[in-house]
Amino acid sequence: MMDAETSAYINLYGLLGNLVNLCQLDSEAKSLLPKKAVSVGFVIYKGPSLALRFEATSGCQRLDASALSQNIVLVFRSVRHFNAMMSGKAMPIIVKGFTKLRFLTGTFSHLSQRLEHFLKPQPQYLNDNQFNDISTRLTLFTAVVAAAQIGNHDPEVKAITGALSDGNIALTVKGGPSLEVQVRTHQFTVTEQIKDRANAYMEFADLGTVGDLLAGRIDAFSAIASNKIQLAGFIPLLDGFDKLLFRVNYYLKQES
Amino acid sequence: MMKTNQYGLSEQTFARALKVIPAGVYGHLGPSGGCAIPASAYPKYVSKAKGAYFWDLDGNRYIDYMCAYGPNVLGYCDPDVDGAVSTQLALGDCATLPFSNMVDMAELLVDTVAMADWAFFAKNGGDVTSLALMAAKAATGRKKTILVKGNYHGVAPWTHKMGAPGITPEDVANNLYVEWNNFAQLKALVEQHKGEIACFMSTPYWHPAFVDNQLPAPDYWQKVRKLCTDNGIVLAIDDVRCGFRLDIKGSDHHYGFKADLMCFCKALGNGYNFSALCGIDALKDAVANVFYTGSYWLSAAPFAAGLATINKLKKLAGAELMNRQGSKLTHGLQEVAEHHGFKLQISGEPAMWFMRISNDDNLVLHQQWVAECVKRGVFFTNHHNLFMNCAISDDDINFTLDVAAEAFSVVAHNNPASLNP
Repeated sequence: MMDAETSAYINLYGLLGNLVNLCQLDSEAKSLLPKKAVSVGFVIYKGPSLALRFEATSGCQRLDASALSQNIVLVFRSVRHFNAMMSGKAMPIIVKGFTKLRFLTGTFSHLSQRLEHFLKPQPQYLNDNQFNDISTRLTLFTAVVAAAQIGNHDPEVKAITGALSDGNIALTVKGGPSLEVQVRTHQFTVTEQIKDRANAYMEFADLGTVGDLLAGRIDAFSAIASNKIQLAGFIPLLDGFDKLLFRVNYYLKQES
Repeated sequence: MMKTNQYGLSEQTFARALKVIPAGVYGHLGPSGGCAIPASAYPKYVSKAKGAYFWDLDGNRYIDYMCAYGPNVLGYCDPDVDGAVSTQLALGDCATLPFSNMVDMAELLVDTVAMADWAFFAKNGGDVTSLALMAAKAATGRKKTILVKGNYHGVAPWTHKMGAPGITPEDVANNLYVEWNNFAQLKALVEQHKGEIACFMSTPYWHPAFVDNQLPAPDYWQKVRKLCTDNGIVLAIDDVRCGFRLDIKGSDHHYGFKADLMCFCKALGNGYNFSALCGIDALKDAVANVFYTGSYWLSAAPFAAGLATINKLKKLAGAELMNRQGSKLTHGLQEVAEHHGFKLQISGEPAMWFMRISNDDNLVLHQQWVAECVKRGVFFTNHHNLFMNCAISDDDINFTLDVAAEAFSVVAHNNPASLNP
């Protein structure tokens, strides 16, 4: 059921990519950022890459530039090597930035732990509204990006994605964040910019509903039926994307 | 303005259901399948049904154009059908041996359905589509099936797409897919898998949800028939949805060809629960050798219903009546739509038409209009084909057109930019 390449894309863009949001939402994370910018490139052989820039004033940013041109460059022999690193079972190969190793072992490690703190919440924090708010926003991002990557890479969903027509799905939370999933020739991208007009709409009643859904406390069908999720527009797009969302659990459970 | 419905009791009951039933109401009758948008515009439960109508828990009446998704073909609680069932129930229903009305039912189908030499009974449409594949595999010794993209054949694992929850690659490993009406593609696939194809299964015309339905192209079925015959492929028609609404003799007869296997359910018993696989003599032995049964499959009350239903459909010329009334309704809906600045696209066969407002490209106007109709007592769903039944009168059609007109005016008022961009 699990595909290593898909898992690597989820880990890179859905989890590490979420550091951008973490540093916007969480003051403690932001306080960890260095005054002088440090950029880190993650390069997976025959796989995806990612470049992130960390700096106290501007926060964490995802860069368009080559991952190989960053201050610190971490290389992975394969998607499996990268996934093992994300599970704490392997070390990256550092090919550049030996003088900045303290950033990796210090700031970056703390940021990763902070992200895990919100994505894998301990029961004692669940009554804290502020914690829940951040946790849900970060989880929503990870889940939607993961679903998009599953759509792009998991060979077992090709029959589903192959049947989807082009279009934009607007995912919104009343009074909360919004994400747009663009489907073009059976490939998925996620942005935080919602266009005025989408082909399909999925609106969550509140952040609590998102949290309940992502934590498995409520299923999507019940949420729709009880008006906690409102659908509109070209439903086959939502139906197809929902099947990708359903598979996110397989991948994220594996990471925990 | 008409009074719009309130659903207090429906919602209270649904809240109870959510605690003890997965998704509250699951499957095609539930509000989560994408055909009831927004879910709040729809009632959740029926309190009674009679003729062309049902009433919800809050006492709101609806003209029901979903007809229980097909089974209601004569009208709910038809006196002739219910009378026959009552008589049979007094004698018994589910027993150790079948009652002899099982033979009567098979004889009636063989006499009625043009292609049928025999009939095998089960409970649901999906029981007999699965049996059709097993029979084709047993008869040919081959393992692959060609299906048409977008067709619905039930909920058995082989009917799903790979990647859907609960489906493994092995479940669909022997399925091959072609586009509807694309004979060249079908022919190429048969060539590519020469000697491997057991069965080509399709609905008689293309009626998936969400998209305009398509009738068979001229000569499509005749060419498919010859291709299957020439290559030893069993031609199975899933007539579960269309059966007896297009033609009492079967939808293959309606489109001028002869299937090897025909799957029936829905309209067969006017709501009483059974299905039938009909076939040609050459496949009788193969079906007999497939071990296939269920605890309630040979119960007698549904056969009593089926005998009464088929005989009454013949007496009424039901298929012709439903197509005539369907044409009257759909033409009326298109006129009303145009009057309010909307274009209502109608496709499929009139007895089970599909409709879509085409002023926008994301179906939002259509969803709003259907919701306004439902709230005023005309039960449509958003993106599934609708159904006629023999009890829908001219007065019902006129009422429907009045409701449609008010619903269009509400949507026009709420979306001025969409109509006058």
